[in-house]
Amino acid sequence: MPRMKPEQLQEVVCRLLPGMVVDQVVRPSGQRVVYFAHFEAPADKSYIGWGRVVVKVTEELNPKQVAYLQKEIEILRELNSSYYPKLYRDDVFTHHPETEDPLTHRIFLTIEERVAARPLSECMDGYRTESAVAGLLFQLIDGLSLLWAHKDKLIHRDIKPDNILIKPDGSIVIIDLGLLREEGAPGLTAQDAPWGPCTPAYASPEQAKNEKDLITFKSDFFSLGTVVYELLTGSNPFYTEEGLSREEVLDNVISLELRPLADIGKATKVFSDVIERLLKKEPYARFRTIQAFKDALTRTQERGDE
Amino acid sequence: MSLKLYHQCGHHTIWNLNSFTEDHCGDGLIFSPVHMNREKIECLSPEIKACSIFDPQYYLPNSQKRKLKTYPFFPEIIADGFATQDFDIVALDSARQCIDFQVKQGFDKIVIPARYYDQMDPRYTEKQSKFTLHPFLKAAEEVKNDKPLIMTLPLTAHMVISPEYRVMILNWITKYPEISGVYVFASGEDEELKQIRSEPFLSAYLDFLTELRAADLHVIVGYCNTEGLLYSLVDGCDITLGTFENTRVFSIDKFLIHDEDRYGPAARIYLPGLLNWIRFGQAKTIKHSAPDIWERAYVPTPYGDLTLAAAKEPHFTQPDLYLHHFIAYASQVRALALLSPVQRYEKLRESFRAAIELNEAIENIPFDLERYSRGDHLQAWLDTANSYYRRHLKKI
Repeated sequence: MPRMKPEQLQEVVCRLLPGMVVDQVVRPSGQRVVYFAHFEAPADKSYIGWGRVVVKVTEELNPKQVAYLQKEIEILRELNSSYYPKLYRDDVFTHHPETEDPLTHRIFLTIEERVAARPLSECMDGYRTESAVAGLLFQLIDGLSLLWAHKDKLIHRDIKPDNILIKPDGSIVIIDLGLLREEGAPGLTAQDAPWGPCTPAYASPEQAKNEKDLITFKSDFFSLGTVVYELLTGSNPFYTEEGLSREEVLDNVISLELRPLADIGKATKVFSDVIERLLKKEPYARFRTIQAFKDALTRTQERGDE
Repeated sequence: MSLKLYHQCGHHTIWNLNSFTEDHCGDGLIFSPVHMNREKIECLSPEIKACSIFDPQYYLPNSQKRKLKTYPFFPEIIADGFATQDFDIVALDSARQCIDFQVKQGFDKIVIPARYYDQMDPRYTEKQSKFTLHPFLKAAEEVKNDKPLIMTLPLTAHMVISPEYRVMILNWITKYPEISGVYVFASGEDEELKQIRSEPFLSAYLDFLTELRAADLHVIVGYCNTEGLLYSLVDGCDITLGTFENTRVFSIDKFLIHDEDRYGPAARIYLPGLLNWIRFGQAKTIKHSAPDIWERAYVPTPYGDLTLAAAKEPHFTQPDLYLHHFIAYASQVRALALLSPVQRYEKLRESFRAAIELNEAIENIPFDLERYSRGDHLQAWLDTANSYYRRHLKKI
């Protein structure tokens, strides 16, 4: 059965959340519809204190997406950290608010804090130096460690400039936990699929090859390496030319050996070595622990201070 | 530039203990429950246990060896008759008890055991994870002990030689940040020849050890024979020494009921200059017919001197020749431990070349060493060391 048209869906959502005023339709259609909104005279007064919010709406498509969404909700509730947006509310609606007829597709709805920040993809020019990038990396390690060191050994799996928000004071917020995965969990994509869920230009080789057993926090290390490489060189290292297909980008992720940043004059040798290690094709060759990564990064800064 | 030397304990562990405490050979011991029952382990001094490890030896989980059965966590005992398909039910309990034992006994590290597979099973990592790794990690988390966790990696030469298999193992073991080290050994290469002489195997093994170290894993290479000296090329690898051959070459046979065949019937003496164990009678002949060669091959120790001076040829089950070996080999390792990897390479290269020359000199006496006493392995070791130097140590 087809899903609702965008305007129809928006109307239903507004009825489901009385008092909601849509400020901007960020993503009008697709698997997940996103609105920026606020509440005026809501039935529930506590909504007012939320200020500007992000409303994410998913019409149920299949059990996999439901599982991802539920995981994201569970973790956002649990994390309660400034590195992640606050989750104010989550609901599942099964009936139309007015007609009370059953909905063709259940509506999953979350209301999150709207962080006053810009995505890194819009302010990359502020991160073209090694020290600025190192500062960003330290924050990312701290933020992502909440997932990596979580009892369920979570992996973000979609680290990219669009999912890193930069606040005016330079602090970061990591968004879109939609691809969260528990290390060692069976996973929700078919084992024989050619690639796993990811954004190709920021995926790790093991995601590109859908080697589920190898997807760990070190897969996020690889994505961080890609983000840093892009920041310091000005372009994504695996999206080597306009118009590349998803498969071609993933092929690059798997096999394209990148020139060390130091060799192209974009970083000091010591910093370049750290990023090179993040970008190793085989996970075993990347840093084995979060602490080892952090320590290596710290050493690059100490040497810089000398 | 750490290079620790552990005693790989086996039959007559008392010899290892005496060597360690009285002759100050080695930095610790790896205790073997198949040779030492629980009560004896419990009676060891805390000082010794604090610098040693206990290998739980789940290699053959349905082993019927009497001493292994004194450990209630051993798979055969805890499962009341081990069966792979049913072990899941008790795996966590076994892990809890095994960790509890190692912690309470005060060993230096917690060793996670593994099963031995003699074939290149493509599901090796999956099976090991299910059998011990995951239950042990869970049990270790419950205990919240700060002792380092090290994983046993029982491999075969075929596994080591295959680059794809090595990568599979490396990716698997480095997935777990809780694991801080590995206790690794490889069986099956030139098992009949007493000394490994396969350059492809040795080079692949050194590469594997290098990758493990590059991943910041503590590495203990178990079941080393004299080739353990070569492993010192990999900075930070610890090695072992042992008495009988079944402590210097891993074989699953010792977990079967009868393993006495593997002792090797002839008494041999370790001659450091030849980097080999020489049949005792032949060694004595060289001593008397070519004293200048003997002087370069033999390093005097009280045990060696005593045995050589005795009127009667020693029996291979007497301790003196092993105690002599411990002193001579530990001294070689100590000399290497002080050096950088490049210096170790230079020193080893010099030793291998000297041993080759010495073998030639013996041939020119003329005297023909029997096949296991000959230096047929030395060229392969020299080639391995040179190749390792070119690939890993030489500054470009």
